[in-house]
Amino acid sequence: MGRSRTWKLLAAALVLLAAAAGAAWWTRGGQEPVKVGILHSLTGTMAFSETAVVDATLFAIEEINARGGLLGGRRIVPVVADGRSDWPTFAAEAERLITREAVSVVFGCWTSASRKTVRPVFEKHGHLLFYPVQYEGLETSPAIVYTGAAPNQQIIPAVKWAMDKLGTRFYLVGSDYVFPRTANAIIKDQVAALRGAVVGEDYLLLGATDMDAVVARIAAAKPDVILNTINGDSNIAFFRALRAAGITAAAIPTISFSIAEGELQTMTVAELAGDYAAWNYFQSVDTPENRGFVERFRARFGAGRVTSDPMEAAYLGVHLWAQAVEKAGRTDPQAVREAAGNQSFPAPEGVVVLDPETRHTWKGVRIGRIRTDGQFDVVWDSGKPIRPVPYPVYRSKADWDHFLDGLYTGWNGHWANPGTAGARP
Amino acid sequence: MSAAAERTPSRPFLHGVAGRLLIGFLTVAVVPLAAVFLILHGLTEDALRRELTARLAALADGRANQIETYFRERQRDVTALSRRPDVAEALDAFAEAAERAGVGSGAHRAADGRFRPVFRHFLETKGFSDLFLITPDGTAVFSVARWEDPGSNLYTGLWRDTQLARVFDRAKTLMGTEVSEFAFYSVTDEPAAFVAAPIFRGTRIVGVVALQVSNDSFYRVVGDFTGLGRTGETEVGARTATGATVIAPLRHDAFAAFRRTARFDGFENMPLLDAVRGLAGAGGAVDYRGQAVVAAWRYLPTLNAGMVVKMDEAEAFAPVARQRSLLLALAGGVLTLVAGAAVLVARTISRPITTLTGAARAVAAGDLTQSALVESDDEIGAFARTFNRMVADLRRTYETVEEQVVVRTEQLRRSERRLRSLLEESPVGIAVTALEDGRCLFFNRSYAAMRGLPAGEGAGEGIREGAGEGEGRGAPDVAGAFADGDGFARLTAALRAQGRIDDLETLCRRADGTVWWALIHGRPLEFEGQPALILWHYDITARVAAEGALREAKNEAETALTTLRATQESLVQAEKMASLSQLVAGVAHEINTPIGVALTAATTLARWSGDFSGKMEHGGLTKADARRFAADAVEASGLIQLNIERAAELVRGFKQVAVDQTSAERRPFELDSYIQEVLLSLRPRLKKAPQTVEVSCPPGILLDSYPGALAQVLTNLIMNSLIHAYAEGQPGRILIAAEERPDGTVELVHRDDGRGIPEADLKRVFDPFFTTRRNAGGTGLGLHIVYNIVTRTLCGTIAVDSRPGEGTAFTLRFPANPLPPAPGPAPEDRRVRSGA
Repeated sequence: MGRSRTWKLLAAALVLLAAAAGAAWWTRGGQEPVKVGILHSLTGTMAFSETAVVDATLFAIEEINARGGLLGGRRIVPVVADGRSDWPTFAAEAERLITREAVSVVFGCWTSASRKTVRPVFEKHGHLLFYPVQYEGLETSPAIVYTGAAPNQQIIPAVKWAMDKLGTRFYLVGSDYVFPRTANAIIKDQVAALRGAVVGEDYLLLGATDMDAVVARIAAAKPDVILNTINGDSNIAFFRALRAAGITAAAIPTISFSIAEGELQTMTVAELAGDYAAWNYFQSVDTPENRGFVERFRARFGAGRVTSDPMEAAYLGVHLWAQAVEKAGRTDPQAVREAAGNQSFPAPEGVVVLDPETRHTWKGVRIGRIRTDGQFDVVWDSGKPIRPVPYPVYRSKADWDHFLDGLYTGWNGHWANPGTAGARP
Repeated sequence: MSAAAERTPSRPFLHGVAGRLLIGFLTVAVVPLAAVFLILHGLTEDALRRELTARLAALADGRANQIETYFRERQRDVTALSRRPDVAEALDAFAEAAERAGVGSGAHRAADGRFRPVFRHFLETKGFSDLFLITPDGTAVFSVARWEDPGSNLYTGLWRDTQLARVFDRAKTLMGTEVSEFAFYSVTDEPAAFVAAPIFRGTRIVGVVALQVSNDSFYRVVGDFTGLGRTGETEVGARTATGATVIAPLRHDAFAAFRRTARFDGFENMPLLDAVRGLAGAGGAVDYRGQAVVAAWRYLPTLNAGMVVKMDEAEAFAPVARQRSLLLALAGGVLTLVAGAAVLVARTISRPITTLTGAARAVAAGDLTQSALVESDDEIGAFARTFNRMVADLRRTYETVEEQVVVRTEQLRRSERRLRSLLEESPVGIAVTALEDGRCLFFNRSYAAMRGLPAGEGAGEGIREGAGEGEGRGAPDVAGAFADGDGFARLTAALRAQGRIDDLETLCRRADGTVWWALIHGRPLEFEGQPALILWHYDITARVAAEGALREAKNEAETALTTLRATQESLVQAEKMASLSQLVAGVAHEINTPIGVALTAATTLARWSGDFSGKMEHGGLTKADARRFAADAVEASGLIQLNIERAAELVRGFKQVAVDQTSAERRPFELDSYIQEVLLSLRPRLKKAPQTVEVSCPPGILLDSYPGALAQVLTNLIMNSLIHAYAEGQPGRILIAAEERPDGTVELVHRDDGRGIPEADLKRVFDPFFTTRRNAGGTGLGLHIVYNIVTRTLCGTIAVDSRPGEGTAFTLRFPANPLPPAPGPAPEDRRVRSGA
C-alpha cells in the first residue's frame, strides 16, 4: 500500500515536471515583444511625404512578424509618434520614445532639420535611429544609420550627369533649411570643378506657396537646368508657377532631389513629364526583388499605391536592423549598432551593404525621367553599389563642419530658417 | 526420466544463471552508457557544430574584409596617384600630343619616354598590371602595357562596354575613385578588374587615370587558405543574368574562373547564389564537387560579387567524429570489462552449482556414497553442507528399512489371521469360490450351518454348471445349494450382466433336503492370486413367510374397497334422483297456479256458455245479454290463453334443466341466465325458506361446458347452505357471484352468512359420508358430489373458507371451455383454506 502510494507520488511529480518543462518550452518562443519607435510627421507640410514612409516601415515590420518575429518568436510592436513637421516636437517625441516607451530602435525623420534636431537626443542616450531619406551628407553619427543616399550617391552624379548631357548653366532653387543649403553648397563646388556656372540661387520657406518672384528670376536667368531641392507641398505651387510662366521640361529641364513617385501622386503629372529626378530606387526598377516588393506592398495597402525611394530605404532599414538583431542575439542599441556593420540585404533597388565606418549604405545610383503615368524611365544607372562618401572630397571635413555651424548659428540655433514657423500646423 | 536424460539438459545458455547474470550486468552497464553517449552526442556535438560554423563565419568575415581591404588599398593607391601633379602633367602632355600630332607621333613618344618608366615602376610596386590615362571625352591617350592601342575612345572604340569603359564613366560621373567589377576582359582575353580615379587640376577634372588590377595579386588574396585546413577554400563569384560565375581559381579547380557557373534554377552551390544576391549566412551545403561542406557566405560590395568560404564537412567536423569514435571506443571498453566481470562472477556461482547438481543426480540414481566438495563459506557452501547432511541421513534411513520389513511382515501375518477369524465368526454365510473352475476356496461356519454342512470342509466345493450334476455327486457345492435350477441361473446371469450379484432371493435346499430362503450378495475379488467370487448369504425364510401373510390381507382390503365404491356410486345416483324429485316438485308447484287459473276460467266460461245457450233456446236472450256474454267469453278465453302459455313456458324451462341434469351433455350456454333457470327450479324450496338467494353475475359469460353438472353443483351448494348453515327460521342471505378471469377460467363464489363450519370439520367437508346430521337424514354425499363434479367434469378446483359464526364461502374455478374429461381417478388435491 505504502509502496504503491510512493510510486503514485513519484509519477505525479514526474508529470508535473514534464508539464513545467513543456510550459517553459512553450513560453520560450513567445517572450516579450520588441518595441520599436516610428517617428515621422503625420501632420503638417511634411505629412504629404512622410506618411507613406510610415506605411513602408510598418510593412517591413509586418513582414518580419509574419515570418515569426525576431530571436525565435519575439514580435515587433511599433510605436508610432507624430513629429507634426515641427523640429522641437521631433526632439520631444524622440525623448519620449526612448525614455518612456523604452523602444529598442527608432525608424524616422525625413527632413535633415528634424534629423539634426533629434541627433543629440539619440547620442545622449546612446540610442539608435534609422534614417531613410537621401540627404546632404556632411554627417556621421554613431547613433544614426543612414539608409538613404549620401551626396556622392545622388547629388553629385546627378549634377555631373546633367552637366554631361543637359548643359552647364544651373539655377538652384530649394527650401530654406539645412539640406537644400548644404546640397547647393556641394553643387556649387562641383559645378565650379566642372567648369559650369550657377546662374541663380533661391530659397523658399518650407510650406511657401508664392513662387512668382522665383519663377520670374529663373525666366530671366535662362539656365540650362534647374536643380530643385524644394521639399514638401511647395513643389506643387513651384511647378504650377513654372509652367504658368511658359517654362517647359523641354525648354529648361528640372532635376528634383525630393520628388519621387509618392509626390507625383499629388501633383499634375503632365506638368512634370520630361523632367528628371535622381534616386537610388524607382518603382519601375526591373528586378525580381522589386517586382515582389511592389506586388506585396500593393496587396497590403491597395493597388493604387506607389513605392518610392524613401519608402524603399525605410523598408530595407527595418530589414537591416532585424538582421543585426539576429546577429547580435539581443535588441539593445549598442549591440545592434556593432552587429549592423557589413550587413547586406537584397533590397528592391539591388544589394545594399551597411558600411561599418560611416554607417551609410552602399547603394546603386539612378537618374530617371518622369513619364506621363507618374513613373520614371531610368536614363543612367551606376550598375553596381557605390561606396557612401558622406563628406564630399571638395572640402575638408573641418571646412564642411564650419559651414554647417554657420548655417545653424545663422538660423538662431535651428536647422531650418525659423521663418518656416508659418508652415507649422 | 532417466538419469542419462537428466545429465544432458537442452537448456539455452541465456536461461542459465551465467547467462542471466551477463544480461543483467550488460543492462546495468549499457543504460547509463547510452544515456551518457546520447547526452554528450546531443549537447556537446551540437555545440561543437555550432561553434565550428560560427568560427567559419568569423573566418568568412575576415576573408571578406581582406578582399575589401585589398581593393580599398588599391583604391587609395589610385587616388593618391591621381592627385600626383606629374599624373596631371602626363595626361596633359599625352592629350596634347595626341590631339596635335596623333598617337605615336614624336611628341607622343617623347611624353611616353618621359612618363612610362615612372608608371611602370608604380605598377610593379603596387600590384597593377596596366595603367591608362583617359581624357574626359573618353580617349585613352596612354597605356603602359598596351602601347599600341592608345588613341581609342572608350565610348566608341576598342574598350566599348568593357569594365574599363564603365569604371571610367563612373569615376567621371561620381567624381571619385571607383573599382570595376571583376569581369572577362575581351581585350586581353582574360578576367580583369580596374580602378579608376578622376584627375583634378585645382578643382577641375582634367581626365581619369585607370589601372588594371593584377590578377595574380588578386588571386593570391583569394587563394590564401590560411585557417582553411586541407580542404577549405574561398569561392568568389559575380552575379550574371541567370546565376553566378566563379571569377577566381578554386583550390580544387585551378581553371574555374569564368568557366564554372551556378544557376538560380539549379540545385548546386546555393551559398554562392545567395551571396551574389546580397544575403549572408552560414551552414551546411553541397558544393560544386557534390561534396558536403560547411560554408559561410558574404556579399562583396566593391566587386558586386559573392564570396563563399567553405570547408569539407569531413574535415571541419573532424573533432566531432573524433569525439564520437572516442566515446564509442570508451563504451566498447566498458562493455568488454563488464562482460568479463559478469562471466567471472557467473562462473564462481555456477561452477559449485554444477558440482552440486552432479552429486544430486548421482544420489537420485541411487548412489548414496556421494558427497559434494565444500569450498566456500557463502550460501552455496551452506547449501553443499546441507546436501551432504541430507545424503548422510538418507543413507542411515536406507539401512534401517530392511529390519523394519521383517517386523512388518510378521505384523501382517498376524493381522491376516485376525481377519480370517473375524470372517469365520461372522453370522453372515460367507463363501469364496474360484471363478475359473468353481472350486470353493473358503466358507465360514455360518455358511456351513445354513447349508447343513459339517463345519471346516470349505475347500473343494465348486460352482458347477447345472445343479443336478452337483447333487448327483452329493458334494456340498454352491450350485448344489439351490432348490431349483432357476436360482443358479439367475446368479450366473447377474454375474455376467453386472459383474456382481445384489439382492438375489432364492430358495435353497440343505443337505438334509429341507428348504430355506436365501438373500445372496456377491462380488468378484482376487483371492490368493486367482480370480474368485465372494458370496454373502442371509437366511430370510421368516421374512418371506411374513410377506405372504401381508399380501393376503391386502387383497381382502382391496375387495372391500371395491364394494364400498359401488355403494358410493349408487348413493350418488340416489342423491341425483333426489334432486330430480326436487325438480319435479318444483315443476308441479309452479305450473299449478296457471293451470288452476285456466281451469277456473274454463269452468266459468263453460258455465256462462251453458247459460247463454239456454237463454238462446228459451228466447230470453236480450241483446244486452248477448253483448255481455261475448265480452265475458273474450275475457275468459284470454285469461285461459295467458295462463296456459305461462305453464308451457315453465315446462320448457324445467325440461331443459331436467334434461341437463339427467344427461351429461356438453353444450354452449350463457352463465347468468342458466343460474337463473336453476334457481327457478328451486323456487318451491326457496319459497318456504326465510333466507334469500342473490345472484351477481355479469351477463354475457359464455361457457362451452356441462350445464347439468353445473346445475347439480349449484343445487347441492344452495341446499347444503339452507339445511346446514341456518337455525330453524333464521333469516339469511346467500350470494352467488361469478366472474370471468383473464386466463379463460370462471370463478364462481357461493357464500352464505350462516353459522359457519368448525375448523376441525373444515378439512373433511368434501369427504364422502361425512355429515354432522346423520340422525336428521343427511347422507354426507352432497359436498362430495360437488367436489367430484367440479374436479372431474368441470376440470376445475374448489376451495372452502369458513369462519364459525360468520358464514362459509365455496370458491370454484373452472375453465370456460374445458378439455374433455379424462377418464381415471380424480386428483386428490383438496384445497382447503383455513379461516384462521
